[in-house]
Amino acid sequence: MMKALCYVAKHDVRVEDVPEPVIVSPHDAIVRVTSTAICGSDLHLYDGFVPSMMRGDILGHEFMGEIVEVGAEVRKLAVGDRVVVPFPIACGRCWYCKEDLWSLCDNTNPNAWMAEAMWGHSPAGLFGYSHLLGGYAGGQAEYVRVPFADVGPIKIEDDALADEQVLFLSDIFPTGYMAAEQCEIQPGQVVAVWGCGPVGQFAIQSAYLLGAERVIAIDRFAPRLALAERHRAEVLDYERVDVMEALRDLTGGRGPDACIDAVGLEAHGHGIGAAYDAVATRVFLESDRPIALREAILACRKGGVVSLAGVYGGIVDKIPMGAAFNKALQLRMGQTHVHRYLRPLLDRIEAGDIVPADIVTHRLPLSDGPRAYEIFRDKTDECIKVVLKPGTS
Amino acid sequence: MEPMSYDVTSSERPRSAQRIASPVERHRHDVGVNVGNGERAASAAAGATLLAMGLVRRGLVGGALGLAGSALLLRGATGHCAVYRRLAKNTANDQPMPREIVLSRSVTIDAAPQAIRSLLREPRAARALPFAEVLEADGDSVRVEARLPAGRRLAWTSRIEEREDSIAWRSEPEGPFDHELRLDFEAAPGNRGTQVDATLTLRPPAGAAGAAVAQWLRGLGVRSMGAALARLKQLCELGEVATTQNQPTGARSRLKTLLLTAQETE
Repeated sequence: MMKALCYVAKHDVRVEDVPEPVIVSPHDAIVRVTSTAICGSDLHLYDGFVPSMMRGDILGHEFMGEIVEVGAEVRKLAVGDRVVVPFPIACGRCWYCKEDLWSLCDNTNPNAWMAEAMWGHSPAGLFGYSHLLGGYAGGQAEYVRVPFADVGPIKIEDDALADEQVLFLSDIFPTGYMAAEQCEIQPGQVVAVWGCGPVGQFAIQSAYLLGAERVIAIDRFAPRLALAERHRAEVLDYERVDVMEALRDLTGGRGPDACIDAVGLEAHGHGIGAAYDAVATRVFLESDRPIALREAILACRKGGVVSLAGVYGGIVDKIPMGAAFNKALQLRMGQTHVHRYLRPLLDRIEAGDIVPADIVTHRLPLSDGPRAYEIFRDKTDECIKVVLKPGTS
Repeated sequence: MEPMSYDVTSSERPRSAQRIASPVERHRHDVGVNVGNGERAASAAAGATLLAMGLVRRGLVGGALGLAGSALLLRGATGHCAVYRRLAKNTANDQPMPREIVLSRSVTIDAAPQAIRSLLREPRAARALPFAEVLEADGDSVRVEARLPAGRRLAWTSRIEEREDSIAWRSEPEGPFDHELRLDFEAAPGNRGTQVDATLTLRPPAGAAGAAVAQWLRGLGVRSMGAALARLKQLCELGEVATTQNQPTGARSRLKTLLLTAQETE
């Protein structure tokens, strides 16, 4: 038996004793998890925004550890290897994988029909992220089964790199990076980032890595704004300033060249739009609250890019499509093609261009998982990012 | 979506009273059909759902659900509603129920048609249909057994017909499950392999009543076909089927486990 953090019900996760995972298919590996993080998108599960969660589902899609067993046809990994595992599960063989669109893998969602019913087609299966996206057991556990192990996990050869330096390659560093890359930043450009949570912090730093002249970051929590400032962003507290006006003034009336929504479906805000979303989601007229997205579309300069890193799952309402159309904006989005970024971003970390570990505010044993979810959701104790350590107490 | 096949194909369909009625059609009028086809299918669907819920729950509530479900199922199957008779209401139209149900789904597989064909002749192809087992394969004849709910089994023999760009499994006419499954192969544009168009033609037993139930199961059937084709694609492209079987979970709730198991093993 092992300990695993399981979903029980909305706002109720528990550490339970569950059987250890076994090799099911010849391309599987079993990883002993050394570090695992709680992602902002885990809060969407925790807050009941994602359908098809079941009592007993093991959570977690940001994890790393040591290979303890490999299937008969695993060639690139061996027992003892230290690996970081991407959150999308990709087969490496289908048309989408070959096109470098790993999160759209055609073959890894055993429950594709559920996703097809909601979205028309199914993306890749994800670790620990509802039955809609495969129903795979997640990594907030002592051990986890990793399918298609030759395709996803990246080996970390340098023992001098602490877990916290490389753990975020599993999701949020590539996610922030892809959001910035989608902006196709040109020299001299200004990028605005909504949300200074972990993904927002990586989006800010990635925008600079990709050559942005200035980055303006928007949030309301002082510790997050302070960290964004440390990452060289100019910051706006949306509870103190009118974001639209401020962005116009800070960009000589042009508006940011690119706008990144690093918030997603559970955005907070104020004003008529936010009130509308509060009511509409209650009565199921919409499922997601696209407050940051609306503002990003309105703020963006003509011909600019609005890039979505925050997760959306369902239906949104009152999207200013007229603004997007008449300003000829590009909207770019998607679950991160993590596999694409593992090597280049590990190189960046090894070169010292970025210090991913600086977002970690809380380190807790896995057994404290339920409390960790609360702290992270309520952002108490200046929480920005929680790392859970299985096997410690 | 595929149109339903009617036994009368003329656009100027004669009124049913003027047609030569088959034994089933005569029966249809004997019991006094006063429920329309769409409503019959819905009635059968709701009835079967309630019945299933009743069986899961048991007890007094379960019994009531089961009773209500049975009544609705019967209403759908016979097309007769006692309440409508009292109210002198009739929603039945003159359209005959279809005798044949045609389901279709397509998938694009990154492999040559020949590779897909040869895999289909291997025993492991049965992994695409987790509820079925190949009992015997002999040249162009194959005997298949399907596991049904409540431990029941259904076996039939199909003849395989291969053409240049298709393969079909036709059940023997006197068998218990009258159907034809056909896969058409076509090169996918943009070097994406082969487009496989699957068509399943079902001739359900019990004539119109069976067709009403089959019509209700249509969505389920198309979904199952999609899942089977996805598994065939995985077998061709990866040599394995993506699965979450035997993985650990925490304590499940009972009802949900039942529902999910049904969904995920389709």
